[in-house]
Amino acid sequence: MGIAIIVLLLVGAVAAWGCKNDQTARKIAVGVMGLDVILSVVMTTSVVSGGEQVIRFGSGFLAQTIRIGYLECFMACIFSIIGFLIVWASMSMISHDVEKKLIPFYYFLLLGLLGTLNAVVFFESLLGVFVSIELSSFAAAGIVIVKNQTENVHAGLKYLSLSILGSTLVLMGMVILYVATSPERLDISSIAAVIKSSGFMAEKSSYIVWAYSLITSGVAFKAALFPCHIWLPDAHGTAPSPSSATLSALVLKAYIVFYMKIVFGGAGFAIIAGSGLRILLNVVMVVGVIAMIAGSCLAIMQTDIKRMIAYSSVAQMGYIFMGIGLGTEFGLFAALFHILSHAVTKSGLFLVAGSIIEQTHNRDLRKMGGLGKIMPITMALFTVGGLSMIGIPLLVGFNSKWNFATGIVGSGTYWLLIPLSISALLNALYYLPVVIRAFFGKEAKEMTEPFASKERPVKDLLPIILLAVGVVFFGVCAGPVSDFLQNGIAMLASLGH
Amino acid sequence: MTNLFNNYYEVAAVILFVIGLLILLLQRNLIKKIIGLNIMDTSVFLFLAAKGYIAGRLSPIIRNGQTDASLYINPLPSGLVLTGIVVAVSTTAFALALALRWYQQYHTLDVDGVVLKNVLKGEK
Repeated sequence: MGIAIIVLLLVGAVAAWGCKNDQTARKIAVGVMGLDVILSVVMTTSVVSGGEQVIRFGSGFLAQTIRIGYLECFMACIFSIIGFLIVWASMSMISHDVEKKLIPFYYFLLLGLLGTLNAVVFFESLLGVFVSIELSSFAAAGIVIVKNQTENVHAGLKYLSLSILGSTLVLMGMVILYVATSPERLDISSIAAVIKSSGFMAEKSSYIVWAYSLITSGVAFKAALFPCHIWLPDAHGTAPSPSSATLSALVLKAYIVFYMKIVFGGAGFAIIAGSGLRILLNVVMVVGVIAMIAGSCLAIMQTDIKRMIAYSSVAQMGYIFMGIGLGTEFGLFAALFHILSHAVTKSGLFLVAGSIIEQTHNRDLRKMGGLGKIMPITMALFTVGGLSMIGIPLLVGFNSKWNFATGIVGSGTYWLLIPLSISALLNALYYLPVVIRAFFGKEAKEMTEPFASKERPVKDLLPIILLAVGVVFFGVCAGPVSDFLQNGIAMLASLGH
Repeated sequence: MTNLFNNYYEVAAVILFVIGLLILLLQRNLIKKIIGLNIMDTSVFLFLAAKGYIAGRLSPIIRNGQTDASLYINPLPSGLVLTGIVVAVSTTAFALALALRWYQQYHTLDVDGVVLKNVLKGEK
C-alpha cells in the first residue's frame, strides 16, 4: 500500500507533465491527489486493524525496507489531505503566478515533491531515505524557481545549496552511524537492535553522539531550525502561494518525522535519557526555544505579508524542536500534534495571503486597512488561522500549546513555560494588528480605487474554508488523533526489540 | 595525536569537508559555490570509502568459489558511494543549469554582491 501511494504520485506527476494542455494537467493533479487521499485512508484503516506492515524488496546492499506504522499513516494522511486541498486551491490561483506553458511542469514538480515526501517518511532503509531527501530538495527548489523572477531564482539557489549542505551532513551522520553500529541491514530497526543491545552505548557512546549531532545539524538546515533558517523567508516568501503552502505545511515536516524516527526509533527513550544523547537533545531544546522567540521577533518586523507568515513558520519549527528536545514521550507527542496543527493552519494562511495578493496586487501589511470590508470571507479565514496560531481555545493551536505545556510540566523543566507564554504573546503581536487593521482600520486609498470589492468566488475559496473547518474541528475533538499518535509513539519506541 | 595520523583518511575527509563548506558559504561566485559543493560531496565519499575498506581483504567479487564473507570487504559503503556520486552529479547539473540561467538573464555570476543589488533595484 505504501509503495502504491509513492508510485501513484510519481506516475501522476509524469502524466501531468506529459499533457500539453494546462487545464488537463490541473484535472490530472486533482484526480491523483483525490486517489491519494483514498489510498492513505485505506492504508490507515488496514494498519489500525492489522498492525504495522513491512515490505522488503531488492537484494544485496540495495535491499530496501518500507515500514508502515501509525506515524507513517498519520503523515501520509496529512500529506494527502492537505496536499489535495492545496492542489485544489491552486487550480484557480496558479495561473496568477506561473506562466501558462509552465503549468504542466509545475504540477509535475508538485506531485513529484509529494511522492518523494511520502518516500522520505515511508522508507526505513537509510539509502532510500537519503535518495528521497535529495529528490525532494530538487523538486522543492523547483517549485520556488518556477515563478521565474529574479528573487525566485535567487531564493531557489540559496534554498538548493543550503538544503544540499543539509543532506550531505545527514549522509555523513548516517555513515558514521552505520560504521559504529555495523548493523545487519542499513535500516533504522537493525540499527536500533544494535544500539539497544545491552552495553553497546557504554562502549561506543561518543561515535553515536557524533553521528546524531551530524544528523541533527543536517536536519536543522532542511527543516529551518533558527540559525539555519536563512533560506526559508526568501523561498517561502517569493514562491507562488500554493508552493509556499506546500513548503511550509508539508515539506519541513517530512524531514522532522525522519529525524524523530531515527532518534526515538533508533535509540529509544530509555537510552536517550541515560547517555550523551541527552545533552544533544538539550541543545536542540534550547535552540528550539531561541527559534520560538527570535522567529516571532523577526516576524513582527516584516511588512510583507508572506514574509511575515514565513518567519512565523520559523517560530513554529522552534516549538516542534523544543518538543523533540524534551526527550519524553509526551514531548514527542506534542511535537507530532503540532505538526498537524501547523500544517492545517499555515497552509490556510499562505493560501489566504495568496488570495489577498492576487485580488489586490498588494503585499504590504501597512496598506491592508479596511480589507475586511472588501474581502470579508478571506479576512475571516485569516482571522481563524491567526487566532489558532496565537492559541485561542477551541482552535487547534490551543490544543498543541496545551500539549506542549503538559509535556514541559511532565518532564520537570518548568522554566520552559516562560518562553512558551512569551512566544504566544509575540504571536498575538503580529497576527492581531493585521486583523484589527483589516476590520476596524481606515480604508487605505490603494485598496478602494483600482480594486474595489474583490472577494474571490466562494467556489475558489472552498478549499481554504475546508482548512479553516479543519482548524476548528481538530480544536474541538483532538481525542482520536491523540490516541492514534500515542499508539504510534509506543510502536516507534519498541522498534528493534 | 597519533590517532590523527593513524586515521589520516578520515582527517583528510573532515578537512576537505570544511574547505568545501567554507567555499559554499563564503564565496560569492556561483561557479565557485558549486565547486565547493562538489568538494564537500567528495569528502563524504572519501570518508565512506575509507570506512568500507578493511586492510588485507579482497573486493566483494567471488573468486575461486570462495564464499566465506570474512575474505571480502563490506560492499555496502561502496554501494552508498556509487549512489552518492549519482546524486552529486545530478545536483551539480541542476545547480549549473540554474547558474547558466542566472548568467543569461543578468550577465553576472555574483549572487550576493553589489551587482545583484543593482539588478534587484532596477527591477523595482
